[in-house]
Amino acid sequence: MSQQVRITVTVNGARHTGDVPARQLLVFYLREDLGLTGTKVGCDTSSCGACTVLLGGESVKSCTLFAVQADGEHVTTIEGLAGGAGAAGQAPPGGLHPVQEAFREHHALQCGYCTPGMVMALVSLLREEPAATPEQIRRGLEGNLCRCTGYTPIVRAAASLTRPHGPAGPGCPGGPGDAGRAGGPA
Amino acid sequence: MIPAGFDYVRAESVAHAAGLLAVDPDAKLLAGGHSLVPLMKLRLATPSALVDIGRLDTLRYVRDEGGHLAIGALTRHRTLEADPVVAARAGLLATAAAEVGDPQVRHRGTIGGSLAHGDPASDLPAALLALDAEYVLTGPAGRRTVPAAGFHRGFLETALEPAEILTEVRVPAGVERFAFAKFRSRAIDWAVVGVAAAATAGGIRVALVNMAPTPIRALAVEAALAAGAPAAQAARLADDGTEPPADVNASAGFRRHLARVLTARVLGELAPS
Amino acid sequence: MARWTGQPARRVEDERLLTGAGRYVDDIVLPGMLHLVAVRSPFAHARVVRVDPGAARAAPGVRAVVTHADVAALGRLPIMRENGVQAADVPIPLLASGRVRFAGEPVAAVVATSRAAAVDAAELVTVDYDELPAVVDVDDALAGRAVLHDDVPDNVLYRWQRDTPGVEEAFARAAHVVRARLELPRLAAAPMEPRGAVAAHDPATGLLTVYASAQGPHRPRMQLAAVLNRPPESVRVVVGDVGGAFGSKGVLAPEAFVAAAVSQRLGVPVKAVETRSENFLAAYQGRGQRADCELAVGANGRFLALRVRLAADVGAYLYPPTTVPPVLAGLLVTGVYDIGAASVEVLGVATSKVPTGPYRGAGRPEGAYISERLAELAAAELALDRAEIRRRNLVTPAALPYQTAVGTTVDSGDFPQLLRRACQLLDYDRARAEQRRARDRGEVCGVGLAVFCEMSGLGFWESAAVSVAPDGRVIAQVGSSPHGQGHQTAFAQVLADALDLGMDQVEIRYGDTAHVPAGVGTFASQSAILGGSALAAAAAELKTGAIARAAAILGLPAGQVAWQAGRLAGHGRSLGLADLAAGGPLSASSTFRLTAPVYSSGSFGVTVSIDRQTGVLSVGRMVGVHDAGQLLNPLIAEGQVAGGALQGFAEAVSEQVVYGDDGQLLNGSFLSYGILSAAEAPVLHGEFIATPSPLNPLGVKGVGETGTTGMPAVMASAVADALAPFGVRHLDPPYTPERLHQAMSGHPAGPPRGGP
Repeated sequence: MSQQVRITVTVNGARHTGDVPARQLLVFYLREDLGLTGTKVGCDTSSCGACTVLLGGESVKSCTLFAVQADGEHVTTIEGLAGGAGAAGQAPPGGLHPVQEAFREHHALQCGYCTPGMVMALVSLLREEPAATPEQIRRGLEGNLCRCTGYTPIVRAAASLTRPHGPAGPGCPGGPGDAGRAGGPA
Repeated sequence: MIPAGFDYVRAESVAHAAGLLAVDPDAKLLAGGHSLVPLMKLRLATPSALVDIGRLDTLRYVRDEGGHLAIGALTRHRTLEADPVVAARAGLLATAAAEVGDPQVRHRGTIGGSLAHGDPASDLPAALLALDAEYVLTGPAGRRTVPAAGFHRGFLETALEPAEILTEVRVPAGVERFAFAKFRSRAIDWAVVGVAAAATAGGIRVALVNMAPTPIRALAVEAALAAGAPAAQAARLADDGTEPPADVNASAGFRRHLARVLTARVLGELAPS
Repeated sequence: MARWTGQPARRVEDERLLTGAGRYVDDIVLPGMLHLVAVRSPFAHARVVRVDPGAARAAPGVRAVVTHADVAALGRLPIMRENGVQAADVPIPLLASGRVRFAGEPVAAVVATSRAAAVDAAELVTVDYDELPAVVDVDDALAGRAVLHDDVPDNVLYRWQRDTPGVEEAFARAAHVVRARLELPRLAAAPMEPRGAVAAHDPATGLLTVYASAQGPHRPRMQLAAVLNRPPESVRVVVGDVGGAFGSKGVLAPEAFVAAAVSQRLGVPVKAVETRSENFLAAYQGRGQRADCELAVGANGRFLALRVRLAADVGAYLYPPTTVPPVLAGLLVTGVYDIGAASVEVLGVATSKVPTGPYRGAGRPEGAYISERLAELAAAELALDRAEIRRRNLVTPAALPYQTAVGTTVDSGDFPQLLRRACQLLDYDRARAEQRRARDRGEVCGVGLAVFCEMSGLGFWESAAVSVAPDGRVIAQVGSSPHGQGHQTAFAQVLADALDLGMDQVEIRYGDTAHVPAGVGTFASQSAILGGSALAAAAAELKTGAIARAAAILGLPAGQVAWQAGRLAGHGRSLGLADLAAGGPLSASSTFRLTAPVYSSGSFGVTVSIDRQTGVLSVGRMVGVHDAGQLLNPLIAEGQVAGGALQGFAEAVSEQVVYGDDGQLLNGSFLSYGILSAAEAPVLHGEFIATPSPLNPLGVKGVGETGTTGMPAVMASAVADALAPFGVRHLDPPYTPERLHQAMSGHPAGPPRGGP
């Protein structure tokens, strides 16, 4: 039993070993111990998704994990997307990831604060659902809040990357509503 | 935002974890953490220690045992949502799991963690009630099986003894049709009200989300249906015996109304095609 | 012909932000930096009997525990008293002294070597309170149920009034008088980045540098100078990347001033960044206005006069911009209509809540709500079509510049075209026919319309400087300060066109008082107008100076030197900007002053259906037409409208701040406050028309708030239309399922304010 724990985490391909307080959240480990400040903190109720990173290739909210839970795991942050972190203000050596490129093309970011989490969530979503419809994209982004864009350009950016590729509409003109679903054995 | 301090230990086995819980009543299990960690960040929960069972991969499985589907307690919501065996053998569970939180939450949250936390606003416990599931509880004294109907005792209170760990969920076969409806005022919300229904050869079971301090069966609806009442009439009894909460999301009266409306819709979907 | 202006250029900001290289205030780490966490009152109204910091001072990592006594000698934040506002002189405490007046008000601050240590220690500060009765309802406050400030026994913290002659006569001869009580509840701005600052006092130089998440560096510098009793020139404010503001970061949080004071005392940097929960509790909120209105209407449907008594729920204190939104609403109550006389009174009423202030729209949506609801209620009473009554009353282009009854002047706009085009985009007649068919099937559906105008540019001036770097690139420093609006791209387009350069040959910088000596900042949708115009003027001056210098070098009269794509040419010889810069600094600066507000405008149309059983509202089609004059960058402009429209839609269907009777904030998190996700966001089919403003050389008008301004009005229009068969005349938002269900069930007033 201890309040300090030794962990080894592979972040963006680089192994890091160190002692962390058990109570340290993964997002603070990334931001403060490793200096990877691209991942953001936007709330304290696990609602906003600004802290989204990939853990073992799947999107997770790094504010809702302790760093100790990432021991032995592979974490990818926004800095590790595409060809790896580039110098500030310059494109990474490998160029931008297609999601990043699509965001720029479609003006899918304004203040940029939700953007790293939004991009990581979409990387995971598009990996799991490469043929996601705009409706599925919208549902898949329920865990990522944006206050600036109104979401439509984000959905357009994501939809431009799905199969079948094409000028899919930006999604359902939905209002708030219930989600009823019925089904039977397959 | 920053939890209070705690001791941390990684459990090497279920027995190890149970033993640690036995000696420290203020210790809590850490599985996916998506019920517990949010409470700790607001310091609404301040356990003295966390026993991390998250790596006990022996508790992560989905097995078709013929008469029932056996699901390890550490199976994640995402697995329940996407696994074709779950879709085929316990479609109501797959559907409910797809409604939990958001994709990031579903990548980490576990079925065992959701059940053990015991929040009546969670989607899975009500679906499992409608499926008449059983839960395997493992503790220092051994294993026992508790039916879903007897598992939830009160708000955030379950049948788990202090040192017991929920290790397996068993979903009986035999559900022919199912339906699930969750009313949220916004996508990122917990359910304002939810209804889960499963039809078997023996009849229809209906369970409610967030209509009482625990997930509950809508027994009056079930009895009316068993007595031959048409679905619309039976649905009017959905809020019988319920104690829905009142909060900023909805008044108790509106929840009662929604329970009746959603139950009617769900029963309508259940009608054999 | 402009090569860049008006083009949908992709943003130069994006690569940095997309790759995680943005630098927001919480990303800043300085050597020796300490962390400040506030201790906040759990009570909405109480006497502070005793603050005991003892146990906290002894906690690990703690370097200071600050109470009111430590900051009592500091100066005061000024209250804005523009447009003739009469405001009470109630000081804004940095840390509560003797009394707390809203739940969440800071009472003490803990400064420690880590954020975790500060949070732990904050729990050890003991405060004894004597609870006092809270007052949360405006009428209760006006009745004196609980007095918040002893010097203000009627709880009216400010008043504002406009009266034109002829109001009484108009009402006397009116064929109809339409009356309504209209209310828009409080909202949380909720930018994705909460407020924060890092204050770094350098004992060696005596210079205080404050990095802040703010809407510009200059106002915070003024505020810091006033509070810390030091000359503004001794304070440097740096605004880097800002994660949204929407009006809520016009003043630094009290903790930022305390951090600066502590930094001065200890000589080390101090960071004060709030949590989301704190942002909900203690950042100033928007809206919270209730208007009792009367519209005098002639037999032919012409609007004759307007009376508005607006009571604003302003909260416990007057923060510097608290007076702004209700007064701006008062200046916009006549909307797009030709109304000859008006009497408008605004009262800012104290309540046991966090103060209000600007939030996207900042009075514009409230003003549009009043004019549009009254117009539609008049249509209903006169049995006139809602589009038709508008046509009869719209200010027409021929009437411009049009002086309104409240004394403002509409400089530009084509309101009839906005209405026409919205009806066309919505296919209004077909929507009506579909509605009839749907109603025959027993469905509940509505068609909504709104036309609105708003004032932009209200900071009234801005400065810009341009200089040539050694490599020949042109660097601009602008006082405008973006937090998502894409200034570095849009202004680069202006600058590139002014100097006939490529976008990659210019660079826009902002946010640092060390480099931009004077400025105003970004609010009131003013940056294109003020910053853009200042930049264009500075560029023109730079060009003149460059030509003169080139002429001297080439030995030619200036008139024989031509500027071509950034090169100065004459008589077969040419020089580049780098060549000129080699001979000494080459720069120019300019300040642009606006003589009067610039009017933007727009229209919305929407079809909605409401589930009869659950009250859930769904949007069928949503269209919008916006007039922001010349667009610098249509991609960015569209983004501003779309983002603003979703915030307006959210306030119409989902968002409201809810307080209990005891002044406790009941929905202070994203779990219970109605911010929308992508799954609920409707798609806006929008387009622009352009009537350039004559008040600035670029012809631009504000675009940052027009998406929001007309939304509450159009959604109220659609919902009232949908609920008319139920005998509902009017319903205030938010149109949550429960409120709509209650309205359809024969409770037309909906649940009491503050309910779901």
